[in-house]
Amino acid sequence: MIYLDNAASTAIDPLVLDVMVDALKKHFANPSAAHRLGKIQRKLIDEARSKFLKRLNAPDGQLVFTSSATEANSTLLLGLDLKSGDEVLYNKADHPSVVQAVESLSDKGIQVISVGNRDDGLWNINELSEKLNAKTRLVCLCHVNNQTGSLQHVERISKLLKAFPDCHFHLDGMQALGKVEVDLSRIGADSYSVGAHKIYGPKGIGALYLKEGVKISPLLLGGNQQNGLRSSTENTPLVLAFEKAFELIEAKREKIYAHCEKLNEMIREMLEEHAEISITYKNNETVPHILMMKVEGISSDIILRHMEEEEIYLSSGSACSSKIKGFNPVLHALGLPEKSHKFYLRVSLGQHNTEAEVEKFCSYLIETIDELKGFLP
Amino acid sequence: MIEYTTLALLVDELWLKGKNRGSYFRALKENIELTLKAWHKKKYRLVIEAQRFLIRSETPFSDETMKAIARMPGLQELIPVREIPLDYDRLLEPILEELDSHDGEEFTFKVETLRSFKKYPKNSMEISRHMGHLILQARPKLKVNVRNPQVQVNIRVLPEHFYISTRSIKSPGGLPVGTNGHLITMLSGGFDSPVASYLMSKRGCTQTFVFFYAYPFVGEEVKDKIIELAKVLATYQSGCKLWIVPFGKVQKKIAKTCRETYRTIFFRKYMVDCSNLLCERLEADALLTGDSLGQVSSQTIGNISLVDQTSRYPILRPLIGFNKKETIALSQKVGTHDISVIPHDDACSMFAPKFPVIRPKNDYWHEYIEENDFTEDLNAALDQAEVFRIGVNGMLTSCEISE
Repeated sequence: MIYLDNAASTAIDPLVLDVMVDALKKHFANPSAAHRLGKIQRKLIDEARSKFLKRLNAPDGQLVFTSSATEANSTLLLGLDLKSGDEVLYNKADHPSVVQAVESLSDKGIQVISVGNRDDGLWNINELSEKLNAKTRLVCLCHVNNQTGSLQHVERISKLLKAFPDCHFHLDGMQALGKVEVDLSRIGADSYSVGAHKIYGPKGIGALYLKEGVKISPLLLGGNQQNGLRSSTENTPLVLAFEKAFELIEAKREKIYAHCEKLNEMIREMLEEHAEISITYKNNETVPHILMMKVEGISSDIILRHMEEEEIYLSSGSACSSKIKGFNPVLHALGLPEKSHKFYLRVSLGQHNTEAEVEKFCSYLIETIDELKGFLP
Repeated sequence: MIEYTTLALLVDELWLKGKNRGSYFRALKENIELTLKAWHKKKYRLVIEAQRFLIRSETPFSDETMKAIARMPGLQELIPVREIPLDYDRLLEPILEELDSHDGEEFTFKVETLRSFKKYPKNSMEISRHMGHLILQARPKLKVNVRNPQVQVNIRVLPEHFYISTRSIKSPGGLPVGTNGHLITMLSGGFDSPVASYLMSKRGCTQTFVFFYAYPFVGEEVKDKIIELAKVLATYQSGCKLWIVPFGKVQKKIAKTCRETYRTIFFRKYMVDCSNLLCERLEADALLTGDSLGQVSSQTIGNISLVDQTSRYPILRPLIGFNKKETIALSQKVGTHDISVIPHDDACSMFAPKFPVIRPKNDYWHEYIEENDFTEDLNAALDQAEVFRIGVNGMLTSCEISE
């Protein structure tokens, strides 16, 4: 099997799995319990939280564990104290968990205003700067775009926002964590969402970082766990597994980055010459882990299924929207013509991919395209 | 909501049959029993009385059970019946209950009595008239309309009981499935083939469905759609089997070797060939398609004629003279419309040439067939087919690889 869909999800690291299984066996009690079994877990969760924050270089911040990065985004975007007439700036090419939550705010009379993207896939900071004003209360963005791999210039945005102290800056870091350095003190975001399953951790756990002093209303009400920010019994095994996954990926992040860079280069070299294939974005503005390409004239789902027959797995644009045929709102927001949307593929690389795998994928892709273009009209 | 423990099933064309009538009744009885087994799951008694079936159970029949039985080809209608002891004074109350169970308070009605027990002291006319009078007294908002009533109260007088009924569910009619041979029904995801299947279920044909699955050109969603269609059609069939035959490789071979303008017609020809092989394997009698003359290029008279020349088994085409709108209207009644309408990828249109051949040349056709023998590929495709078994209740019961 050749798995080239790491931006959709990753295979759990055996060491992470060990931590999780061990905790599932040992820590069955309720972490809020007043007895010893509860207190042990409370301590473990608190330790995990502070290690996590330290790794994000934000030791004074708050960290709320959630069920996913989607929940983290909703918690923040729906929990901020925004009022009718306030303005929110966002990127329509971002993940639906950001876009849809932001757009739902318009029901409350909040002005949601999209800022476009440049031809190189980056968010248009000039346009952002023009649209920022005294009414802007929230700017939100995906640190790394899940479909294009574009690594946004978040520090520049953060600097820009210094002139607007009432404006909250939220970043979705789901695709950035473990791929690039996430130094929240330097980035200067007010909140940051992350999840475990893109960094070889389990599904079902995410987290929301909140800068010291940021106040939000909770999405879930109940037992007031996690300082009332997310009522629900904390899932100790998943919290410990997430922390372990973060620890492991951080230790080898730079190595994996260099490895993916090499594989990415190989793909570009092998495919770029082919008449039907075009790599959408240059690698200087994207993370090497995600590579978007277009195969002119052959629907991506047909290619995916041909690849699947050879046990090669990749994605068409985004796994979250592969069922939407024809029109893809993200590609539209990137300014790519609608008639070409069905031709886009996304290859996402990870630590386990090898040069041999990438070579096999490229040759088989070329072979498939050459064969199909012979008889598909 | 009235609960019924007795159902009367009227049969349709069985009166046409002479000496064969017994076998037709047996087939229908078997189909009804299969449906009851799937839906009712309680004790019941099924008897044939005066050329109709009567089903009695201590447990009331659910709406779903009644609808499922009423779908059986060969039946004309299903009538939920109430059996009342032969005491005239106790007749009015259940009739009023029946009337009260209908929607609204101001509908028109008519009482119709059939006195099978001729020794009963009151005649049909007297009973109808008197009951009508009593109903009007008790429910003054109702009105009588003898020509076109909204609700008809039927009273049947038998030696020990009155049977009363005020509603019925129409059935497809025709002949019971299992009395008119075995067809291989070529299903596609559109409107036509499911309707064709329904029409031949009504003519008593047992059917095995076959779908040519063009993976990797089309995806799982197409297969799921076909399974959903077969689930509906199985309810007219007392259950069925669906063969999903992997056909992408064969189509690729054909597309690579034949003239572009002939692709669609050769796809069609080799699907028919494969269905012939399946017919042979299953000892079936004929093929069934949803073709309608001239609807698309592969259904021109020239193309149909050529394809038929290479089929060893007859190809039944009950929709040959149907307009598309007629087929779509019928699909609503059959219950396949809302599935057929879901858009799906279709490999034939994916490969479709800009100008498909309408009047194929005999020479090229025969030359290609002689040069390209796909029998081995077609048999391999059949060997690799997934075979789904679907129960009379439209539920998947199993799936296996044919080989």
